[in-house]
Amino acid sequence: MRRALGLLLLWTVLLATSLSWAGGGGAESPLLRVPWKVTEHRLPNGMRALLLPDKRAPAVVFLVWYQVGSREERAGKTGLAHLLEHMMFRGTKERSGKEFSNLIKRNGGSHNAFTSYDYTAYYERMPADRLELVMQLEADRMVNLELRKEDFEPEKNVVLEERRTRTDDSPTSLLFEQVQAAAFTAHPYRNPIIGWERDIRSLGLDDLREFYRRYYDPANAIAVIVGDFEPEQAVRLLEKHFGPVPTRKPAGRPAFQQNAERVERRVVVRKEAELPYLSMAHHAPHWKSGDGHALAMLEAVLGGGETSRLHQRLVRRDQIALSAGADYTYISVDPGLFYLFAQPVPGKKAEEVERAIQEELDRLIKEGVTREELDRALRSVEAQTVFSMDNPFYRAMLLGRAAVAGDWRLVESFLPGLAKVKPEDVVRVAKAYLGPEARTTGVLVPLPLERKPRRPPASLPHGPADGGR
Amino acid sequence: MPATRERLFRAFFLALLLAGLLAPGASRAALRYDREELPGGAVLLVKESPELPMVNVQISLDAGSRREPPGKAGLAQMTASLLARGAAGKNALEIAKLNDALGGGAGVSAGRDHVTASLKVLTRDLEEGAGLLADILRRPAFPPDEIEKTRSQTLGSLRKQQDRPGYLAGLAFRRELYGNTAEGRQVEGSPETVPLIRREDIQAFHRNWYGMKGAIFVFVGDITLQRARDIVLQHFQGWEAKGGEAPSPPLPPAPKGLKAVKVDRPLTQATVVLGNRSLTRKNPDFYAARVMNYILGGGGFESWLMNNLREQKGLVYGVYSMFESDADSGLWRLVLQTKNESANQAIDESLVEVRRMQESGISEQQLEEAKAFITGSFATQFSSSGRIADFILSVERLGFDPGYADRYPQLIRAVTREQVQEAARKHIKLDEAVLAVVGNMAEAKLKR
Repeated sequence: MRRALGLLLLWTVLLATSLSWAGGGGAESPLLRVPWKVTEHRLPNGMRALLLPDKRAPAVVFLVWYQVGSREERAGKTGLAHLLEHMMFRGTKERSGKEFSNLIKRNGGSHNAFTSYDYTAYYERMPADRLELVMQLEADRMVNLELRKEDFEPEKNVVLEERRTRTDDSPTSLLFEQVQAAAFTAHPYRNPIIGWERDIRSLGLDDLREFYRRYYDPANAIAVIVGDFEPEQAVRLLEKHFGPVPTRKPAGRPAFQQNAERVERRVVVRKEAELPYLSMAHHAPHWKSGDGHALAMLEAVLGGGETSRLHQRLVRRDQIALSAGADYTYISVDPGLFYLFAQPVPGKKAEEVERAIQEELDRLIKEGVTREELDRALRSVEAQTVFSMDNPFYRAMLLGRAAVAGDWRLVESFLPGLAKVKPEDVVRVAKAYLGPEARTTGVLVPLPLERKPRRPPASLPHGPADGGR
Repeated sequence: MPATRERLFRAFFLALLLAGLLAPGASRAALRYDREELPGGAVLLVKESPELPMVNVQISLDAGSRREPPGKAGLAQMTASLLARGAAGKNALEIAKLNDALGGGAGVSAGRDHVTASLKVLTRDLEEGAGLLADILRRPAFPPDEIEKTRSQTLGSLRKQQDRPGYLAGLAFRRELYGNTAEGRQVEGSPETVPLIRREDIQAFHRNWYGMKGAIFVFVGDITLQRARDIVLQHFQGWEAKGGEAPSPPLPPAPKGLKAVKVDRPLTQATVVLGNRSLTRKNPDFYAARVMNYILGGGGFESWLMNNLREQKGLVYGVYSMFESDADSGLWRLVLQTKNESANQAIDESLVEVRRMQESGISEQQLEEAKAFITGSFATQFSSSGRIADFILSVERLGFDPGYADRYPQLIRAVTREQVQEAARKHIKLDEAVLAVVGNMAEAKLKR
């Protein structure tokens, strides 16, 4: 249950050019240590690399992370980072996009990319002996991207179709988009990663060129390699292919801060759907704060697994929800949101699950949590951490995301940090951050299907992401 | 006995290697596993991979929805979901607590052909996990109140699925293609059938179909053959199913021509599923069909369908085609989403690509590139112990031997251009096809 909801949120947080994703968690006790050995390397031009050998299969995953995402977009130009990610597959001065893909395929590999608030990343999964080839290709498109008009127009249409698939025709995605937009008033996390439809339409090649020049720079990039390779040889290859790429010394990331206002907001999305949905978002500090680990434990107690409080109360005891859970972002560049959510069963309204969630929050604050609950959560998160190590791609994801947010070692300190959390810490952070006074509540009110939709006018400013024209 | 088998297997592998028949960087080490037949008609498959302190277990039982009596669609899935809702004297919460403490990696789910029970645990928790799995599989209580909870959850999630255009299109497609048979129905059942399932049905289904006969046990990870055998014998010995009649109503005749099914919904996009009944996984044409479909619509960005509809025309975010073939049945389908207004164009362009494959075939270079990808990428797909377990399980279900992984690249390499074109003509049947479209019909103005 929780996994499905986690993925739902990820769906809104991460945009892959086409498919593919792996799940997992973050976790503690006798093990505590993450079973891996990572080495770090920095090239003279500022490019960084994280190397994690893993000889279980004769394959290697190579990712280049650029420290730029939708976070760096200006107002009116949302969707730029993601659209540029798409255009990165359209070819360089050296070789067309078709040749690029073809070379990878012919060598038994696959490739794709994803964009998030904080980063844009490109990856290849290859037989172990083809590492040099992908470095060659990624180094080439780091500097030589060719942005042509004849590729740009169809690609923009592809992205508009992507938006329809992911958001406009998915009632819950639309709700999450609107909640995020309402919760953040002064931070670019308010904009959807894929961009508002009107912005996507208005983007031009010059916007892309400028963004590319500014952020696609070796000093702004982190390579992550996981798989069957020798670190010394990988470093030699990195130096050979990325070493010659000149840096223009990128300016670093702009600073943004969300307003500290304490305002309760309510967003209602009325759309044709079978069932309502409820989502409650709260601003919460992330890994830089001393409260991060306690918040992660709070997330596990409220929404992790079948024994979690929300699942037990709403799904099992009261039977008013099909699913219920929590989602908290520990690793990100700036603080994000702590979500509580639930999908009512047929016949129940969002307000009923909202009341039940509030009662569970009140009970947690009043009665506290038990050591047994925390121990179970810890054991569970620990096991899930090891499980997530089982997939080289997911290992690379953990490393890259943490590195972009500030430090890849966050992955290693996460479990020991959780183990130190005490029951009273969990209650304290629940009181401090999950109160209604700064909450953004989103309610999906389903409209019956028979009522033919009336399109909202296209001139609405960031309108309810209308999707039509 | 296993030792001999292993040696023979290695000898076979060595011969292949010397003959230079394996792809560079192929799957060898990743896919060598032991196979042993157990008392009671079960099979044990073990792949040792001790690098991480965890074990992945899968147990496959012949208790899928094709075993359901008429009118009880959803019974197999409901039985599977109820196993962990009370067993061996423990109630649902006690079982959930145990499972959550183990990392939440135990579960049972039903498919059309079989039920798969899976367990992912740290090595230190293996005994506890195996005991849990044995309890829920062998000693479920099926408490009446849990049956009602599961029923209303199922009905609710059937409602929720209606909000997913891809789900609706797939549903309409299968129903039209296979009628009211296990192939045409949803494993979850329907709002009409789920209310009819009684506790006696569930108990009988469990009694009849859950047991050692035909069961496949797969262990991948930090485990030895010896230990795996001990675990299975300790927890599952003497576990018998009663067996019974497996109803299998005949399939309705295939559609004549291209049969269109339309579902009107107020959406911005039309979701299109086009396809036909097609070859099984055991059909010798499978390898040519695999190469063909890779080029047509299975090869990511480079497929003909993606190249035309996405790269050239910007009509879709995604379009793909695939064979869904297992031991007894198979179908071919093409799936795309496009804004309502361009549905006709996207369908037309898809048909252009299919006909091009059938009428003009492929070039020698395309053939070689496809083979290079399929053989070269074989190893990269085994990227986790779960993936490896899935693969081993499917090889056993198809009745292939543990050497199949090594033969696979050869089978692909032997495919010719003529066979590829032949596979497109024989196994994609546009004159016996179903076209299911979900979208805003007023905007789509479908001409079919």
